[in-house]
Amino acid sequence: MQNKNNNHPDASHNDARRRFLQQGSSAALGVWLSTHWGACLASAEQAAAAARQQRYQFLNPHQSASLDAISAQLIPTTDTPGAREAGVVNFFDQALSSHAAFAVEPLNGWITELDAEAARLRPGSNFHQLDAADQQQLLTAQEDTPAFGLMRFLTVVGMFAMSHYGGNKNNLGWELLGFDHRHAWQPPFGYYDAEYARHNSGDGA
Amino acid sequence: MSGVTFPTRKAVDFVIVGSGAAGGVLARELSQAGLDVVVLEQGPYRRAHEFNHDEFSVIFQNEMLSGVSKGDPQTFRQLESEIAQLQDQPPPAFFARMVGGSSAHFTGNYWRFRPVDFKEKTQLGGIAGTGFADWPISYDDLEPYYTKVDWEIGVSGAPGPNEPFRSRPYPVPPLPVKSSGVLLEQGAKKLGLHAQPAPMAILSQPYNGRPGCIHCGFCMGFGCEVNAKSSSLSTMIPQAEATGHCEIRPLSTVTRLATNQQGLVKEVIYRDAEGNEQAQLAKVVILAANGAETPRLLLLSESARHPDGLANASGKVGKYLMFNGHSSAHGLFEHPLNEYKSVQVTRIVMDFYDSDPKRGFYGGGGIDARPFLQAFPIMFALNGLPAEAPGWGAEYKRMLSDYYLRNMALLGNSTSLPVESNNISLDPEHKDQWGRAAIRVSYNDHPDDMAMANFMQQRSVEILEAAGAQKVWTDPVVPQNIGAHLLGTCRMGTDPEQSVIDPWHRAHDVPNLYICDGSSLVTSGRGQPTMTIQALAFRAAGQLIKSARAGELKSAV
Repeated sequence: MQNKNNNHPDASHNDARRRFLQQGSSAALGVWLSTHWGACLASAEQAAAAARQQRYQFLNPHQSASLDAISAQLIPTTDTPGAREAGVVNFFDQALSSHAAFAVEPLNGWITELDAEAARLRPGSNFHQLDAADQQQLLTAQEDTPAFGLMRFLTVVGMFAMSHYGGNKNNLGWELLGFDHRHAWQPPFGYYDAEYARHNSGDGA
Repeated sequence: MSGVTFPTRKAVDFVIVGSGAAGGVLARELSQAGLDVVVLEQGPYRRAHEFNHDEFSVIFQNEMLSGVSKGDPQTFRQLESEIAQLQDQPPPAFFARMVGGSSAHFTGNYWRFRPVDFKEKTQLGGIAGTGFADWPISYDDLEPYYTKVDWEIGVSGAPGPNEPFRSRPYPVPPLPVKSSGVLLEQGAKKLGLHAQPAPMAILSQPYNGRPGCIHCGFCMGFGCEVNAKSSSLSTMIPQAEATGHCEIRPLSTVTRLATNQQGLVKEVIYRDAEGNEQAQLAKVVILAANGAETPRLLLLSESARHPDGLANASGKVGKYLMFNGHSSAHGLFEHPLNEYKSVQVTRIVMDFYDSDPKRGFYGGGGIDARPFLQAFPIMFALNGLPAEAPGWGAEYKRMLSDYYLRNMALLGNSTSLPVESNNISLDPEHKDQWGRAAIRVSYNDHPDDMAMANFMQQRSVEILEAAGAQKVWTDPVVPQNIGAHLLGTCRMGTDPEQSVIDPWHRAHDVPNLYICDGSSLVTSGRGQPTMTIQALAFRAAGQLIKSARAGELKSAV
């Protein structure tokens, strides 16, 4: 469906992507970009790679690389930013050391299991080292497991919860949906009530 | 904090347990009449500016609710033959634990009951295996108090077709219609049904010193940041405090009611904010703690004289729990609806209100249009797409983006029959942080309630299709294990063997104990009980004031 309406999600996502590329994904990254001319042409992937190299408070490098790889399959980077750009691993870093501490053990166990599967498929490889197709194949086989459900839940929370939980960086998750977080709105709110108001002198009030 | 404080060792005129929809009204009315009131509320006293839009905290971490995070677990079982299991995401008795109670986090649907709700057993006959009964009062008895609720707290609305008598119009007009309301109206019209503006306890314009709604979209489950929601927190409680006769005592968890040799309540035992045991002497005690906490407290207050719990000679305390039936159907439309903006509900359809023997089962209900939980980003991403949609990957992500602004829901809200095996009881194992037995919820929807919910869902699907939805899908109607409407557990009646309170809310067995909240209801109505709970509270308060002035109230002092 093509729709020229600016309210359409695709339009705002393209805006979001443009803003993301122009501004970087955080204030700090913006400063970094402004002082590194080459990086001004950075793709979202390159920016995310920089984010991946960041040190986490709680996660060790193997955990962060694994959670990054899995969450980036669950909500992938496509023509719009995904879990990686939204800093979902940063959410995990905060969550697993606080309100979601219960998830550390099952997720560690699951990563070990996925690594073993990965090594069977591609000897010498961990899960996060597989290519996307292989990762998707292994995850598809895990879809009905409790660990997958837990990972999906936390990835979604990281993507769409308020950014003070560590993810949803620059509200990229919300922009994916078209959710514009404001504290006040005026009617009309959507297409159908706008049309209704046009065709009726009042709202029946 | 409020200005006035009362000593615990001098009997205050009234202690009210609970500060929600009913407790707030009672506190305001009694204190305005010059009677001294202490309100004991187990939750914190939060103000509007302390509320937020934090979905993860409010919807997923039980920020406002009771449960494990508050040191007060609950258990659930479907059948009484089962061992109840801990349930916390969310707890089965879904209520806000705070000053204002569940009125602070409610959606604000303010439907009146209709005359039929009070006399339906006489009209239809009894239903085997249930406690289906008439109320001892009628719609006409309650109508002045429905109107009082409209004007005292501020209800937005406009009369619809075939509504019962109302003695005054609404004080403020309906909230502006949303796209979901327009589509419900258009779909209904094509099918020969009638949509009407939804009566909402949310101000459409400034009223009584409070502002109109700013349409932020975070009402259902959230606290209102501007006091446009007509909760007890924003209306009754501050007015009660302003009288100088009412003390709100938050973080005060009542553990039992103590009675004297004559069987009168003498004092209310509670834990204060620091966990110290306190005892507030009272002339009269009113329980308004909600349909789960009120029966728990009565059952916890057993004694040699009251071995099955206080006010429970009938054995009906905690019994006949009713959640209301619920169903949902979802539609995807061509253009953006942006349902995350503004209040949940702006239009309703009441054409299926009356029970119809031709359907082959008992029940009635109303349909409302709303975003439902799909307005909230996390909830939408977890559960908002049709069941056959992928749950992860590029196509999942594409669909999230494609569906979020273009979907809406129609909710069926319907009757629950009073069934004795649906109830609140004391869990034999789990305890709260003060050693109180945990709330145990036993609930299994009656087959007629399931049939009615399915019927409402089928009608909702038809309306969405008639409104031009590109795609329609449903959530399966399954037995409920969570209830936000906690009704019927200390039912009103004239027969002390079949009911817990009399028509004026006095416990049949305890002359200075009154009970007024969702537990008082005899039938469930069609899905939106709070308006009726508050009308009952205004009515009860009027009688209490009259009796107090005439010196007719019994007391242990």
